[in-house]
Amino acid sequence: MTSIPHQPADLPKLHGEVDNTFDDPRERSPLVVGTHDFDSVTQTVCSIVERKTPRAWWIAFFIASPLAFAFVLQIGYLVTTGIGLWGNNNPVSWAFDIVNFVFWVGIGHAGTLISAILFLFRQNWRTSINRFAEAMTIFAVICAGTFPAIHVGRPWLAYWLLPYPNQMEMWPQFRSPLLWDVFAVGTYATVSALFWYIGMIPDLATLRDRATGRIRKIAYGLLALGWNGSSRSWLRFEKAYLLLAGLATPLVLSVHSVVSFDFATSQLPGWHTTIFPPYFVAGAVFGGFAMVLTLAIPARQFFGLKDFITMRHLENMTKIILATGMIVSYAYAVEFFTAWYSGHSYEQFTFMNRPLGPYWWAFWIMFICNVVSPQLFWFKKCRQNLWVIMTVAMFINVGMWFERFVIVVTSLNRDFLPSSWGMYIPTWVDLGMLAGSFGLFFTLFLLFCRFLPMVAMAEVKTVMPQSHVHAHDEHHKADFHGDSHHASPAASAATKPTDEESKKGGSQP
Amino acid sequence: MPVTPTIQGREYWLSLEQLTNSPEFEARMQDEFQHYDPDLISSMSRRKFMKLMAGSMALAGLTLSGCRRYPEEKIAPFSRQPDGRIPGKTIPYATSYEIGGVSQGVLATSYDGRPIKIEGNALHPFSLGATDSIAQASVLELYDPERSRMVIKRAVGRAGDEITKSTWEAFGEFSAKEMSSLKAAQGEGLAILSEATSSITTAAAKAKLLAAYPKAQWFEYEPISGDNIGEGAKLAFGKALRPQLHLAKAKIIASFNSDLFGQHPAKLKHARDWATGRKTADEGEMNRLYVAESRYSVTGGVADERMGIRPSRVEPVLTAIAAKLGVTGVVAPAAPVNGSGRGISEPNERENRFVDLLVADLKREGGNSVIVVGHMHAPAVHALAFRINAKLGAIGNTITFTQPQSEPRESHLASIQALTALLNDGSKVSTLVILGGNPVYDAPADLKFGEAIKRAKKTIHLSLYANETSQLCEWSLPRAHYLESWGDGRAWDGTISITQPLILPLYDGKTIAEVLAFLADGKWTDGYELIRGAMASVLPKDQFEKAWRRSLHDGVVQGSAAAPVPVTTLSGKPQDSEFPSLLGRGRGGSIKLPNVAHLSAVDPTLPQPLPEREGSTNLATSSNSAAATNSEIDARPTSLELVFFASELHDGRFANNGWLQELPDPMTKLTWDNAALISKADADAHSIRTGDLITIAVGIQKLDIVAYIMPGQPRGVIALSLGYGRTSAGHIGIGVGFNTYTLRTTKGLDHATGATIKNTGNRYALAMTQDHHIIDTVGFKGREQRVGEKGESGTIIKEASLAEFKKNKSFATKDEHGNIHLQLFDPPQWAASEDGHAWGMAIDMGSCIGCNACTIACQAENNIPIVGKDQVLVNREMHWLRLDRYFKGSIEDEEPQIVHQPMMCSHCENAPCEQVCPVAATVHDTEGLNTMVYNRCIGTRYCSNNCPYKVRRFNYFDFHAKDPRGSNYPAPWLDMPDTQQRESIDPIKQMVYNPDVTVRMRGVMEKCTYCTQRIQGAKIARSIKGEEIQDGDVVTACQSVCPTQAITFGDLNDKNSKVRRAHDNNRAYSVLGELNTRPRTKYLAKVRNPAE
Repeated sequence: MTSIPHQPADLPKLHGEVDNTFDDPRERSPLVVGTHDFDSVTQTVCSIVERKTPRAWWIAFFIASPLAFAFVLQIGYLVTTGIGLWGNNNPVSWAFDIVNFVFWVGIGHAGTLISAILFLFRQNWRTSINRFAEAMTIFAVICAGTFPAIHVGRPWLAYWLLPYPNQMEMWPQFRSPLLWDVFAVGTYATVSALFWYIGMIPDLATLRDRATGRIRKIAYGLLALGWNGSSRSWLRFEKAYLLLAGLATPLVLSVHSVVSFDFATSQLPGWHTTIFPPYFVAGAVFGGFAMVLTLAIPARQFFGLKDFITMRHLENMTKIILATGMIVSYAYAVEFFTAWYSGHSYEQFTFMNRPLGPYWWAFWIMFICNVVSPQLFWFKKCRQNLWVIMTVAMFINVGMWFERFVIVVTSLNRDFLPSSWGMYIPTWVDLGMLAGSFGLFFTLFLLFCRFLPMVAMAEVKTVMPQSHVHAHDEHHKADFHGDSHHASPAASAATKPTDEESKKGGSQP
Repeated sequence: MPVTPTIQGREYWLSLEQLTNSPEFEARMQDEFQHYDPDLISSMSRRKFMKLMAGSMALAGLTLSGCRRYPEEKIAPFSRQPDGRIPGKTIPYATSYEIGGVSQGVLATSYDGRPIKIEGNALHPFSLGATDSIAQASVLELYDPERSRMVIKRAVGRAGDEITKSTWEAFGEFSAKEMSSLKAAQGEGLAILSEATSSITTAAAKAKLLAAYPKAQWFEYEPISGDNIGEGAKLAFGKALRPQLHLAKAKIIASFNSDLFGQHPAKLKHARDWATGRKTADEGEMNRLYVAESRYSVTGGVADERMGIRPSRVEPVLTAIAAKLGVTGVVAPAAPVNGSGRGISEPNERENRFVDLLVADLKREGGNSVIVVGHMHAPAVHALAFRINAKLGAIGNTITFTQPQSEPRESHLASIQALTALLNDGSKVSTLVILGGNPVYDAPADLKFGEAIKRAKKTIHLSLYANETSQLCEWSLPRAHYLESWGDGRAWDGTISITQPLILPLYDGKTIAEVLAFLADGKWTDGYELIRGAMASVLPKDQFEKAWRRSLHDGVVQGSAAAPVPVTTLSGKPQDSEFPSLLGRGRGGSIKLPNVAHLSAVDPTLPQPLPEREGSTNLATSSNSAAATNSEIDARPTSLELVFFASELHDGRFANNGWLQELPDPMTKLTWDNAALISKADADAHSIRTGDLITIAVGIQKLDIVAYIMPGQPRGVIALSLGYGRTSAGHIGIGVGFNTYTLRTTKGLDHATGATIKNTGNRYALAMTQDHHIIDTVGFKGREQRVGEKGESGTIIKEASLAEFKKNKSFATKDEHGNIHLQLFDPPQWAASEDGHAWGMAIDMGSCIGCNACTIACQAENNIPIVGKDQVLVNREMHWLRLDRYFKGSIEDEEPQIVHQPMMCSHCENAPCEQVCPVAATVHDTEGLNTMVYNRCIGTRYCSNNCPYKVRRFNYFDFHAKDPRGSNYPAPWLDMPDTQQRESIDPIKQMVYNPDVTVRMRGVMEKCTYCTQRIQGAKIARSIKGEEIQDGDVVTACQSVCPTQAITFGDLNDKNSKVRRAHDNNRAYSVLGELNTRPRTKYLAKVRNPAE
């Protein structure tokens, strides 16, 4: 394999890492740094799965998996005893259950946004992060989906939410946003999972081909669905991937819009507002990117993926966080304005009650985390400091959880009739299940890191300069067409492209 | 077709039968499979099924109920069905129950032989169709598995140690021996302590017993008693009479610490009569209620002019009124003597205002007014009030007097004091029989009755529960519940009310009369015989059977009310007595009243009154003793006065009744506890917050109790409710709240002075159904804007004064939005067609007094569970109908107003809950009911979130099966959730359920259904006759009990229906109507009639 030196010698260093965040009008910043060729990409990514399990992984796993197990136990306790185990009560009928649900659905946003929307918009920098962002999506949606199913009073009948033929001749009630939720989240989960899996097939085939053990061979072999790297395979793959991306894109917008309808279509002050769909979507992207960063920064550190998940990726994500954070801040402000402007006394009361009422602390945590903390990203220094990024991302994770808490609980705890006002105080089961859902999420994520390719190798290769060597080969240097007009993932370790192939990698339609 | 074998060839025969070809053989040959029973193999035949079922039912019945007496045991199938009896159809029976010697008439609904619901008896003069919360909750008491279930014998002197189960037979043997030895001594040493009763059956049995044992001594004790009223009448008129109020005629009603509508024995009638004079508001005329009281009572809540007052100030204020009205011989209290604060006999500014307004009104209305004084006040205060009434000309019009039907007796306090003295005297009492009551718990603390009772050689206690007194008695006998008993009692005006059993005693209990009769003649006489015997003296002899049947049917003996006694106020100089009139003392000016009756000594054992002292205020300091000596203590700056009042548990006898324990106090909204109600000023002075444990000391008595800052509580007064802190009541009642009897002494029975308080620094969790947490500034503002300022309308409470109302009849709807019915999308008008029904309700806040009867009627009717204190603390109470209580005015305000708003499902036509239910578990029916389909509900609780009234209730746990006093986290149920209730609820408890209403399981939402089962019942009843449903056919549970008839229900499509007229009333408004929910329940705005 031809190795083309593509590392500009003059790239500056930043905290010991290559700084590819600058914008030099003469040339594009590289999306993959370091001296990588196709083979080394394959080696780096596959070795994570193939080499001995690192101790750090085990430590993390032994923290996360008991929590996940506790989550399962608590669900059992809940189902056999009643949801009175939570602190939910009469005015506050929804609390941690729905807060967690909306929180996790929100987290699940970024993955598909990165993989589908950025794909359609030809934002090729996404390739390094889309795989695990998508994985994060799937796992977050699993966590999210758990809560609505168990939050009902009689979870063993939760399947009545599905429109299925039954002896009662009953349909669900289609006017209910909760039902729309079922469809929206269900569709989103399905398409996201498909999109993730389809995108992973070439890489699974790579793992299959490299597998040494029999079990691995069979397992990855089954998962790779007989991928052989032929042009026909690539053709089908690309079409399917594009179609799914097209399908997933509106879902990114729809799922959280629909989730927001749960609130927006009700008549409760603080919920009943038209701003919710865009506000929720922006918030979800905001929170989702924060969670991607929370996962990406340690992952690239531990698994040696700094060359693929570069500073440029991180900085791009902080920029998105800043942008969506501003949208969220604007939405907060507009809510207050609308409350004042509406002349609706109950609405006005709700918005006075949020910052000044009994849950003032929740509001101010939300405000500081979501409005104040991302402002640091106006400064390039902060965008490039891993500690700052990590800290702000953590703040945003907390802030976004509290945003849902503020919306759900502070609206419910004081609504129309003062006689029914009441406080919600979480119980240990509430807290335990929140922790448990994180346990489940991280357990799944750790398993993913261990057994599936964390970086989309095939896709990364397409954005490497080697893929863009022109047939005439006049340039000595590769062009750094980050936004390559050649949509072909030209390389797969499974079917190592010949030079020729790699040279005319972009010639496919 | 029989087949005869045709034999060919040589015949071989196998048996003689074959040879002879007998018919038996033939038959046997026909039967190819001899032991084959087609029934057995193919299917169960009807007969066989019946046989097997009968057998297994019998076995199941034997094995399951072997240890428990089910009512089914003695019920034999009817060989001939009685006329009109339809299985499964409820039948109401008139009966009555007695509390404190006053009988309340009720109708008990029987379902297949078990009473399940109490209604008011419209034929009873003091029910008028309404009932109170205690009557409603009495069915739960009937089925309480913790009631006294058998005769118990305890080792003497070692109470609680050796308890042996015994039988009535064993008791019979014991009593035969005991009574025969007593007989020899003519009853010397026999003491009987009975709870107050006006039953003539009991009286007859008592007479019989006392005839057989002439030296036996009879005592009577009730912790809450109106003795002072009778004593007051004696002072005023020379006869111990009982006042009868006719509030319907009264234009001005002034109550001084008399909770006319909340705790008075005649409260139902009072409330009804008062409401009669409120409902005329629409015609521009209303009565006016003045209340001066020492705690915020239900009556004070609906007062037009209310003043918080120290109990000791009631007499000066009344004196001032009497003087202004020119009651002969009364002179206005003089000015303060030395301005040192001790001359508080002069009414202060607030009091003066109150007096001036009241006097002006009294002068105008004259005989159409009435002044009432509460039983806590000394007889002299009552006498003064009676004299004012006489001066006004009210006697004979708004107030009449009747002779109490029972023979003259000493006061309850004197009685228990005498008994205690007798017991303490050593060998004077050999046998003490306690009939009902719980004196060990509720006798005045300084008597130490619990110690005294141990001195009796033999003690026998007949009681519904094994209470504190039973624990110290040798024999405890199970008493029959009133729903299991034959008996009678007299209503407040003397009307004889019949008590008839609806079920055989579940636990083999006996009534007081039965036990008395047994003790008298040594053999058991059935209660039925006893009452018929006693009634023979009342009912006409010639037509006894007819009259008896009539009385039994009506529940009352018609025309048995006592006739009004003409009274004349006594005149004449008070004689020089050892007991001078209180009116003459402490006035600074020391004016003697010429025409105050001579006071007979109430209790000669009491110390002689102190010599008069200038400016001292030792007035009315104790209820039953007319004199008190603690004015020195009173003068101390930290000194506080205590008032005691009955709680939702009455005097504590209903402590094991979960419905009453969880029933929020109408004023504090407190459940499962009692608290020391303290004013904001006093609380601030002692830096006390609501929820702080404080120590109250009065004399040598001390109590740690939780404080509750009650708006409107007068400064210097702490109000304590009785009936909590039981130590032997049953699982529900033990250890709930604080035993305030420990502060109640003979000197300060209902009112004590000289109390001090101290904050212990400890906190205590109070479970309130409203204002669970301290309201912050934001919340307070929000609440004020919704509820409105004093006397004004808010957004959800509409209210105006009569004057404003006359000016602006449509004030309730004046700031409503335009026609919100003009919408882009117009949802269907439910039951818009004129021929369909459109059920609707109207609640008149002008006459609602917030008495709680509806809440508990709803609970009884609709199988609503209790949840326990822990769950109330996290706002999970299940009452479908709640009484929202709002204060108007700031917490510092000394006279805040209270408004009660009953709130339950409004059955919105455009129901927000229906739109959001994902499984269509809550849907509209064609008659406009917002129905809840329990078995479709999966429990998303979205409907509750979207309900602006928050009237939906969610079963967070299986509250029916959960122990209300158990852990906050019940044990997991690993079986099918649907079977939990059937398997885990005590079968006796299950009997209380209304079979017409689903018992909800955990995880489903529930709410008011407008008593849909009653609507269906009424429809069926009409349709059987082929008739259309009429206005008034459907009576909801809340509506039927309401003493003021504030709730109207019916068909809005019927133009002439009451509810339609109420909806068309000027005052009608929809709460939160601006949300376009189109509620079917409308509220009629409150109109107050303040004096200014």
